[in-house]
Amino acid sequence: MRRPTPGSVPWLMRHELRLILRTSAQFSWRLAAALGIVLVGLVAYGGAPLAAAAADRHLMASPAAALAADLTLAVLFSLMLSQALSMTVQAFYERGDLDLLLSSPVSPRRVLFVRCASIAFSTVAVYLFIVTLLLAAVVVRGQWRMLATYPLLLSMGLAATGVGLLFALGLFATLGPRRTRTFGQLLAAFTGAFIVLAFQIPQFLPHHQAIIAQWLAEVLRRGWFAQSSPLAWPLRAAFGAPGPLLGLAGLSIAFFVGAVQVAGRRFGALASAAAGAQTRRVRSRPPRPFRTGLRSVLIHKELRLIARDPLLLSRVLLPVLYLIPAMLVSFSRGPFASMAAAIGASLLTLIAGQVAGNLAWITISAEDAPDLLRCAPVTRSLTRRAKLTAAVIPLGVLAIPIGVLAQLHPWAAVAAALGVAASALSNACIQLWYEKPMPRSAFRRRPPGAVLPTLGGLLVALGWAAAAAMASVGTRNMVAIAAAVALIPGMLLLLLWLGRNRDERPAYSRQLIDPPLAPP
Amino acid sequence: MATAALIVEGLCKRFSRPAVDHLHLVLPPGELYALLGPNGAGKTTTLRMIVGLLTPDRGVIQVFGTDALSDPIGAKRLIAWLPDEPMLYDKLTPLEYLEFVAGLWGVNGATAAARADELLRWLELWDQRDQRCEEFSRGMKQKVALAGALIHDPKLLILDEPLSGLDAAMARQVKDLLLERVKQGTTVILTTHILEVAERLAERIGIIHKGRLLAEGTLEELRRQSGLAGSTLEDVFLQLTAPVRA
Repeated sequence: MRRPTPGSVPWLMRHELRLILRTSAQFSWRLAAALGIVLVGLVAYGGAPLAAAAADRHLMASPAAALAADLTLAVLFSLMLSQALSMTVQAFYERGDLDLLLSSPVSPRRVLFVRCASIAFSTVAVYLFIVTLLLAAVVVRGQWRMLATYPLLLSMGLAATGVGLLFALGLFATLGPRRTRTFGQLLAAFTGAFIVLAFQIPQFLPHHQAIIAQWLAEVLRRGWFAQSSPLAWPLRAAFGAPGPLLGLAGLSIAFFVGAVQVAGRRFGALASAAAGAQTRRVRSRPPRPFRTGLRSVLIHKELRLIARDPLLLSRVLLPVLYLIPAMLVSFSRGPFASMAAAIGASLLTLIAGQVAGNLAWITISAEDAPDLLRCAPVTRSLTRRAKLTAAVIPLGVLAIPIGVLAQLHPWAAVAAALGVAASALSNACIQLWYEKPMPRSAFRRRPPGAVLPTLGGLLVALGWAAAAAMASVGTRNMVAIAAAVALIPGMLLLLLWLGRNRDERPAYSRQLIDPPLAPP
Repeated sequence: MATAALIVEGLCKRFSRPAVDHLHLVLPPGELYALLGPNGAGKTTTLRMIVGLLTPDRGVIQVFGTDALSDPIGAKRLIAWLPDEPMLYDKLTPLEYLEFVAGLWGVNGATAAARADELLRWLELWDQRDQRCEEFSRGMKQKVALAGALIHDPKLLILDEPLSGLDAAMARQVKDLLLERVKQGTTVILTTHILEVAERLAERIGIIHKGRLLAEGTLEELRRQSGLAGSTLEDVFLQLTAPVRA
């Protein structure tokens, strides 16, 4: 086979692909076996109804199905856009091989094109994987045209990357290279959350169910989603209709190429500006007295590092953002007020668990200078206790919603406070038991070994949330039931403790992942 | 007789092959000792065992009479460790970093603030005291880490390639500082690939290869051992390690 010409787009793509393959997760037989079982199960048991739906010509022509498909793809697109925006902004800053490529005679526009194509693929990779599991069952039963879902998803990835790239350019132009990185990441996080929040808005409208039903009926009656309407294209494209598929794919590709052409003119200059964007304006202050005491300096160090990393903070707090609208509903008065208060207590408990778990992972596992702590004359337990304390201190802010809840439903507030404390401490302890040194940048892609603590932490938080919801009713019976329910997270916690990481190697050592001395 | 600053006896560490093999070292207080050796000789492994970052398979480590294996906290109080990759927090300023390190070693806040002031001025970092370390060059980061190593006034200073990445002026500054500290009674043990540094700074030099100490002594003693009177340390080093490398 002929090798691509060095410096050409295919040659650069091969280089990019090689890097992606070598930095992605390693092959696991266990995971492959689990996926195989899921795939066989889906083909054997889920295939018939899915294939029947795919074969149904009426479904493709249904305006209601077209509306549902548009909404689903809108959610997917917002998630892809969130990831694409984050990655395109990073593309300007992450040096990696960028300095090498930009110092070579290869055109910066070509480098950007390949990098963006790689981003587009990365944004859809997970959806392609999920779709493969579902499509296998359908295709095996002869519905080949459903394979059109692949080009549809890839088109969406290209369009999302194009939008992300233009957003990144806009941020550079308005905020400058120093602020773009932070704001770009924050914007990406909120873009992902936006559509979820948008779907919750109708909950605040009085008689919202009737209003939504009325609106849907009106929209469908007017024929906006009729088969001939462009709004029905996504559904028809997914079912393999050539016209809509080619139309959507063509538009996406044209938009992507246009965005790269526009950005390509300034890519080299912006990437250079981004390289020197670390410097902040510094206000010299008179030196303040130093703190004395190990616990105090450790806690302050952890809190400072969390507060000074807005990207990390935005990711930690993202679950909170998703739950805020539902929390606001719980402060309502009226006939369903006690049920709303129970939901509020459980949501606060859930939030506390998630946030404490994330913060504890950052303070305990993502220590930046592990060797400094290990060669200091302090015991491991003392530093771990201080790190645990630092992880739960920010949760003090939950006192505000609990205080508001106390004004309306005092008993629910007590249940929420107890739930928050139990959930936060449990999740922080789970991270302590399953400590695995990793760099902070790994927060988005938790290490493979972290599946158990992440899933365990979620289940424990859900258990405490259920107990808090029941206790918040305040009757003697419900409190007794809540106590019984609380045994479930208690037992889970016990199991997690029994299965904890018993590695006797000292903590805070990078050696666990990167041996300092590799014998020849 | 004064207690030795560092006694290493029969120290062994094995990974897939022996990295340190029955190593013996004795350093009197106030000495500057250079540990030299080719890549993979076991220098860094030795230092990491002395500072408590690696557990030896066998052997004894004593720091000013304190057994570092049975009382690691006691030994660590006396030691400062400066690796070639500075142990820093990018999001902290030099002042905040020094406050943190002083807190770890239990130095009183007022004393630590005064020492930080003095060290940062001396290392010409005072103007950058409120700038985050992420904005610093490698040399500046190395200087912040050095200030961190000195903030608790250690009796034994252990440095792994302390001059790597430093420009000539900074390297000169660090060398002067080390000599100054030795004059004040601090014991220093360092590794370096720049043999000229060892030649000019160290009172005694140890040459290690494949985890074993091949030769030890003053430059003159090493010249005698190698049979190369009047030659440079580079010649001596190559002569002593040649049979082993072959």
